Amino acid sequence: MKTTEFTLDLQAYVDGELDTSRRAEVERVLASDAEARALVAGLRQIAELVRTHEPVIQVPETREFYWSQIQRRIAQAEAAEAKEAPQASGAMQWLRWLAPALGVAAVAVMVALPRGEKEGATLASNDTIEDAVSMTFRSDADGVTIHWIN
Amino acid sequence: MIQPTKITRWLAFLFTLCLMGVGTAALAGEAQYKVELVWGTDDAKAASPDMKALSPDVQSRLTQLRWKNYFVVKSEVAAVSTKEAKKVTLSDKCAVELKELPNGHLEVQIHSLQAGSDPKLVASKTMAAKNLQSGELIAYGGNSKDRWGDAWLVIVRAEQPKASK
Repeated sequence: MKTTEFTLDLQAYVDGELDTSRRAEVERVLASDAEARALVAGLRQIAELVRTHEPVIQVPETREFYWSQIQRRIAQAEAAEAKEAPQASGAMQWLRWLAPALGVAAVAVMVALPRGEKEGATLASNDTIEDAVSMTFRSDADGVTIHWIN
Repeated sequence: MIQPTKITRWLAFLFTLCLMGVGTAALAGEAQYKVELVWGTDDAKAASPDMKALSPDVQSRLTQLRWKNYFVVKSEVAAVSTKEAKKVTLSDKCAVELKELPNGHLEVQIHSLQAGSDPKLVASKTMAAKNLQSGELIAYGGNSKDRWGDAWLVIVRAEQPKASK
């Protein structure tokens, strides 16, 4: 056992990768070579250590779940890409009509609204619909919804 | 011929039935809600001896807020129905209006009060009444304008009927 080639053969022997004839030859050498036997024993020990101490990482979901998520995302992305172009052109067509229509509507509202009405009117409590809530916190765990007012 | 005493008894019986009917209808159509004006502060003691500490059950659920202590400034129980809104004045600056909507939600409006002018609607939010009945809270809050670092809260929750001992 002195050559590098034979050392590699020993590694392959431990891993069970040799063909029948080569394995028989290695076993013949091992029967008479104490140094080779020691090396084989060391390699087997290392292999066993790696096998038993390798950390096993378990994910909470099955692999099918992750694959289905990936497939769904790909399908969504493809569908979005397919829709994007025709939608954009459709929106532009609507805008072409919507902008002048909104302008006409705004002028009509300005003309129709009586100007003096507000002076004589008193504001009822419900007339002020200015919602001052700036943010909302929600905790399902606590069953609490808090609307924060500035 | 029916004697006057029998007529009186019958009338009394019918009157009692009517009263029971009206009472049952009123109870069926109304829900009780507790409305509390609460002061949030890092101070250990309340600003006034009239203020009591907020119940630990509610305080432990205000995990999203940062204040160490919460004191109840005023607490009212309001019977609310779909027929009319119930207004609860909590302070000279704040009132709350509650109304059961036909869709099964409770509308909670908060009004700002100012002497000499009409109440101003500040915000209006709704929550499913069944969620409130199952123990959820809806609250409004804001930073105190009177004292930096403190906050006010208006907490609305269903008033659970007290178990008979």
